[in-house]
Amino acid sequence: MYTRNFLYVYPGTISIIIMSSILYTIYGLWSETALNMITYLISAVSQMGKLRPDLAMIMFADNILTLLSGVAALAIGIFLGLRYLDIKDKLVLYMSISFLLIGAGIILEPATTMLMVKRYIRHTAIIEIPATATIRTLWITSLILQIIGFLGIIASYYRTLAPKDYEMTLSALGIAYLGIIGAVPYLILLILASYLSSITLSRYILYRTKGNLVIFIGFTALMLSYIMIILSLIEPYLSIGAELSRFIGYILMLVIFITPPEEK
Amino acid sequence: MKRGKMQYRSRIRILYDIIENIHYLREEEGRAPPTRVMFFANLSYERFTEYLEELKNREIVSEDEYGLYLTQKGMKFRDELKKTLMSLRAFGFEL
Repeated sequence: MYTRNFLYVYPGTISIIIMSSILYTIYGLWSETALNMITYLISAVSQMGKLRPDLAMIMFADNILTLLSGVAALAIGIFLGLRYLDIKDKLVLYMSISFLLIGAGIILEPATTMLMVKRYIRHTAIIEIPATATIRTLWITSLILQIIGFLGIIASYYRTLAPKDYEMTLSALGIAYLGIIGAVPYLILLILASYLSSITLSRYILYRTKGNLVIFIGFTALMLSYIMIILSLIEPYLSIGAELSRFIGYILMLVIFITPPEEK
Repeated sequence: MKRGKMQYRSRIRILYDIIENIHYLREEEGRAPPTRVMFFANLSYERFTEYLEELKNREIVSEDEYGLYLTQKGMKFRDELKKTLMSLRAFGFEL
């Protein structure tokens, strides 16, 4: 008999917690508080773009890099999906769906940003212009897809790993935090990416393989990208660094799937 | 990593163990009898038969007087399986 911990004994409970977090997040995202952060960021950049053409270039480069990150994440998802058709392993399927969701979510980002910029560029006020229903829906869909994708990858780890107490505590704290801050989506993505980064670091410490290191760097790059996205509210140039970091993260993961490192 | 007394083995890992043992036994010993493959893959008779039936139906594995062997399709499948397993291990999955 397995000496299972509660995560394995009550998978239903975990599903309920995750589903409630997602529902609460959707509710939070729809709220004005949540929208303020992103609308302020985009409006500030687009308004400043009128005065400083270099900031318009930032937006352009930012969107191109975002698109490339989305394509890389989608490529991982498609690659794994094709492998699933042959191997029929559920873990491969879950990972494929997770990366497809993340990729689709990221690809929706530039579309949302462009719609916002188009709306703000016509006005002079920075924050008072409300986002349209289309913009809200696109933005919420984009973030929800990415959040579910990250949760899917975390769930895949729980399928194969026997979490130690500290991991369980971390995840419980993470889930609780999701509930508390539900309204700030980039913080949720930052927490999820940080959690994946800590899991992959623990795998690297345990096995010390080149592949483990590359994946750890990949998730850490994603974590850094979300930190920079939040900080780009203060310094718009950081948004380029954020998108570059995210792109590097997904490219590193894609490389691992295309040319997996040989083990000793 | 151990989960209590037993270790989790995913479907991909079981398939890899079966395929790799067939390949190894055939290459090294010239014979790959099903019972030996089952023993090396560490599977019960029921589970082994189930997997073997599937692999035979998909023309990945075939059988002759020297036991089991990998078909052309089986060799390609082995490569794909190995690559996927290595990638997932790089992610740190216990398979």
